[in-house]
Parts: sequence; structure tokens; C-alpha cells
Amino acid sequence: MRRPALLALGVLCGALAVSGQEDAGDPLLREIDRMKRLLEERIGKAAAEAEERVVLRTYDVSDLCTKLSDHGAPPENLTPSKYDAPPEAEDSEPRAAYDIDVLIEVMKWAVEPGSWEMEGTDIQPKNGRLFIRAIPRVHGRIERMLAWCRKSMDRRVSVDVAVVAVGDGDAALLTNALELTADEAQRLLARPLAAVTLSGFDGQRLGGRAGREISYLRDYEVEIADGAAVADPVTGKVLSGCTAEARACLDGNGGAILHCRLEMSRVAEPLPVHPTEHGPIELPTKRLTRVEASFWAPLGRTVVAGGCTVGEEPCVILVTARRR
Amino acid sequence: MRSRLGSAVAWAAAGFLLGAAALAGGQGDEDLREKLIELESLAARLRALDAGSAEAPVADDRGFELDQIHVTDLDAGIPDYIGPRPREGETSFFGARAEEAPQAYGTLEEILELVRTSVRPEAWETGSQLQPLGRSLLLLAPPDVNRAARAFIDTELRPDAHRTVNLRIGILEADEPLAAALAAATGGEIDAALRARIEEAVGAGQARRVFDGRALALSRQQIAFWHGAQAATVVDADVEVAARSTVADPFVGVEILGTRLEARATVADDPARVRLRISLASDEMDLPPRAAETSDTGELQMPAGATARIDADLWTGNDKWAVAAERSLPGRRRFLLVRPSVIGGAR
Repeated sequence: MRRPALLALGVLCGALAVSGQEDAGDPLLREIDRMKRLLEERIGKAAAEAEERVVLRTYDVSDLCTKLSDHGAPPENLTPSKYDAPPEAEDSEPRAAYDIDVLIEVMKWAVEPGSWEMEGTDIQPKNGRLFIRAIPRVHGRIERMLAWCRKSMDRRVSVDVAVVAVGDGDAALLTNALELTADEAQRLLARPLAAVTLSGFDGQRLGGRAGREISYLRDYEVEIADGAAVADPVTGKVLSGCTAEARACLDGNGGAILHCRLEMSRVAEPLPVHPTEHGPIELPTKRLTRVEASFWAPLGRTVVAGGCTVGEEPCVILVTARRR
Repeated sequence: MRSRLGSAVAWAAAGFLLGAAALAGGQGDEDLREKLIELESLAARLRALDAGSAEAPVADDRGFELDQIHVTDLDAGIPDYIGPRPREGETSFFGARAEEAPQAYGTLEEILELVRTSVRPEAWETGSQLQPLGRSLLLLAPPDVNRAARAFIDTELRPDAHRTVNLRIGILEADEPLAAALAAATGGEIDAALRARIEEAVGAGQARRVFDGRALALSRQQIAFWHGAQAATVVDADVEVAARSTVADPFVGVEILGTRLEARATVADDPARVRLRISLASDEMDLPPRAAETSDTGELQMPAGATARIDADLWTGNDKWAVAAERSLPGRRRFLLVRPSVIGGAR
């Protein structure tokens, strides 16, 4: 029967039923109860039917499955003539929070394992999306699982690196305490020589530089032929500032292991000049404090990763890791 | 077919409600209104089911829960850092990471196996699942098993892997008689009396702190620390000769100066004692470097200056100063002092 007709019939029945209520209130209520039971019965049947139907839904999981690449900012060096720096050792393979094949496998054992034996069910990955054929109840659970995965993988971190000059009054920085007090940190961080803030994800190597980059005439490539020679100038660049590479690995308990390569460099200008038969060569001297170490630190607290309070241009490198 | 029947009933119910509500509204019968509201609610559910939009139940029939334990801190390799070497051609001229970066408890699969064999081994044979995912462990198990796995990682694995040592490094130049006392203490701890003598000598100008630094390090990891300079110098020239000409190709070298340190502090079950391995290099360059004039290659620079290499292995108390080594030049006796303090770890 068509829906408008059913609606009209229902309206008529309803009106008739209520119009006779003064004389037969109880029969009306009984009629309503009867209809209620009928509806409940139909709901049960419809739910069972819907649950048995395999339907296709797609889920974009590209945000979960994108690989996290490491960023590098290793300390820079002045280099001798004809020097080829060896390649940096890789310390980890880029990894996604969830490899898509593993995600599919996990879905199959975590979300109603028995339901995947039903005919017509399937999970196919295509271009960062999952095409899933499953019964509605399983789709509901998949939605919940993906929401859970997204919440679980949201492990953003930031690492503040600041280099501060220290003087005689800063001996307290070299105490045994792991972290500076809030007052000490505030006082020192108010006067950084250079600072960078890195941000990324848990376990990702982050890198950054900040400072003044100086180009200089570092060498000549000399070529000689029959009766003639030519000097091809070679330029270089040197950074006067802060270089930071850090990998923050959260421990889930309010701390993180930080793998750091930190450097503060200072290049005096003007650069000294040395004469050669081809012309002048500039010979910079780069003063530096470099710390390469790993350590555990509480999140949100400033620690002295390393430094020196005696000698030429003493400074300390402060690190503060945070969970975002 | 069933679905169509359900739909028909729902629409008829809706019509019934419309008609009934229109008349019942004026009669003030609260009981009737409540019944009608209940009926309307049921009809709405039926219509929703008919459209296939019902909310699915989420409880796992077995009572298992999905849990994810992130172990990035245990899985990431802990690199050893190699300090710079003073000669080109030696490994790591400017310092680098060692190629091997061992993990505290091996690979993620090995951590997983450790959990599987240490936490309720029977659970994993009765349907509970454990799987590596990214840098985490994914568990599908009864809640108490999940909690036990998390507790095992937090209490048995993390504290040791997080153990951090604050290394204080000092270089002290001392005159006699303090130098003799420090030489006698080399390889051992500095007691309170000697500590007081050092402070007194520094105050009187009979001892000078040449270097006073600090670096943090995970237990068992080699760290590298450098406070000094790189200085470019023209140290050589490659002479090339052709038929009717010669030319000098200047060779720029880089001097590695200052205090460089490689240190490895190892803290085992007895945190009161720390095993230390230290390599210290110290190079100074007289400024300006001496110039050497040659006939065909122009002026070259001839760097010169004090140099020292010290390797020391010692065992010292937590939070105790020790004299690791001595470096002596005429009129200058310098001592390498170290103090490891075990300060970090899981809370």
C-alpha cells in the first residue's frame, strides 16, 4: 500500500479512536498498547534483517597511514679542501603510525573476527582509503576503532632549544638537578643567544637552524694547461647561530627520551684573509659548543642538555620538550 | 519484503499518531499523551532501521578490549656519538653517529615477545592477541591482561631504559702541593678533605678551573661533547706542472681545537656505583699561526699548540667527584675531574 494512503488511513483510525474516548478510554489505551507491541515486533525483525545485510562503506585512512619522515639538521662543519663528508648514518626507517596492511589485519582480528567469514565481506585498500564490505554493526565498530586509532596516534611534540651565555653567577646551572627551577628557566630563556622550536610527532627526528649565514671565499680550484693556468674560486657558507636536531620519544608517563645533536656556533667577523697567488682566501674560525647525547627529561620542564661555564664564550644549551 | 511491511506499519502508526494527537490535545489526558509519545518514539526507531541508520552496539562479545601501548621510547635506537678526530682520514673527522644504534630491549618484535612471555603467558594462548603497530603494541585482551602488560612495561622495562646520568666534567690546573695530592688520588674518588683543599686552592689562586662542563647521557650510551673551535688554515699547496707553466693549488685545512669529550656512563643494578669510560682530547693553537714562506707556493700557515689525549676507565660512586686522569706539561699539571650523578628515569 502506498505511504500517503497508509498515512491517511492512520489519521482516520487515530481520529476515530480518540473521538470515542469519553465512552471507551480503556479500549483506546489497549489499542495503543497493541500497536506498540506490533511496532516492537517489527523493530526486532527490521533490526535483525539490517544486521544481516553486507553493505559497502569507504574510510579515508590516509592520515593514519602516512609515513613520518625524519628531518635532519646535523651540525655543520668547516671543511678542508677536497673533503667529501661521509654520509650520515641512518638511525631509523620512516614509519607510519599505522601501516595500512597491518591496520587491515588488526581490523579483522579486533572487530568481530567471526563476521569476516560471512559471504561478501571484504576489505580492500585503494589510494589511502579502505573499501570495506561488512554488516552495519561491524561498520559501527570500525568507525569507533578508527576514531580510537586517531586519538591514540595524536602524539604531537615540540622541542624548544635555546642557547644562553652564562657568567660567573650561573654556577648553579651545573648542579645535580635534572631540571631548572621555573625561575631559573625564565631568567635564562629571557636572554637567548639563539633559539629554535621544533615540532612534529612522537619518535620523529626534527631539525632546525637559526642564525646568521655567512658566505665566504674558501678556496680555489686550479686548472692548468699548456702555458696557462686558471683559478676557479670556491665559495662556502658558515652558520653563526644554533643548529638543533632532536628526536623526542614519549614514554607515556609525563616524560620523554630526547636524542639530541645541538650546537651553538659563533663566527667572528670580518673573516681573516690569507693571500695566495690567485687572490685572497678567507679563513673563518668557528667557535662552538656541541652536545650530542640522549637523555630522559620530564615534559614541560627545562633541562640543561650540556654546556660549559668556564673558558671562552661559555654557554649552556637548554632543552624543553612538550606534548602538544 | 519484511522491510516493506515494517515501513508500512511505521507510516500507518505515524498517521494514527497524527490523527490521535490532533483530537487528544484538547482532552488533557496525560496518560494518553505519554502513551502516544512512547509510540511515536518506537515508530521513529522503526523508520530509522528501515533507512539502515541504526547505531551499532560496540561491546566485544568476549569481554576483550583493544589497547595500544606506545613504546617509542623503548623502540627508538640509542645512538652512540663519536667525537671529532684531529686528522683527516681518520674515522669521523668531525664527529658523527655510530652506524649501530642499539635499542634498549631490541626490536619492537623482541619487546613484544618479552611481553608475551612475561605477562600472563596463558592469556595469549586463549584468544588474546598482541601485535606490533607502528612504534606501539596493540593488544586485544581482557582488561586485566592489558593492564598487566602496561604495568610490566612501565615498571620493569622503562626505569632502566630511562636512567640518565648528569656528567660533570672539570679540568683543574693545580700547583704544588695540591697537584701531588690530586696525582695520588687519580683513579679514585675525591674525599671531603681533598675537596676542601681544592676549593681553598682555587680561592687562593693556586688552582684554576680550566673547564667546567655538564652533559646529560643515558646509561650505557656514548655521548660526545665539544667546547672549542674549528679554524681554517692554509696548510699546504698542491703544485701542478704543465709544459710551460706551474701553479700552486692552495690546500685549506681545518684545525679542531678546544676540549672534546667522549663519555660512557654505565649504571647497573647498584645505582650507588657508576662505571665510566672517558676519552678527552684537548688542543690549543697559538694565534696567529706561524707563517712559512715558500718559493713557489706562497705563504703557508703552520699551526702549533698544546695537545693532550687522555683515556680513562674508572668506577666511582654516584654523585662523587673522582680524579680520572692527569695531563702534565712543564709547569702545568692538569687533572680531569668527573662526577656522575644518576638523576633521571621513569617516575
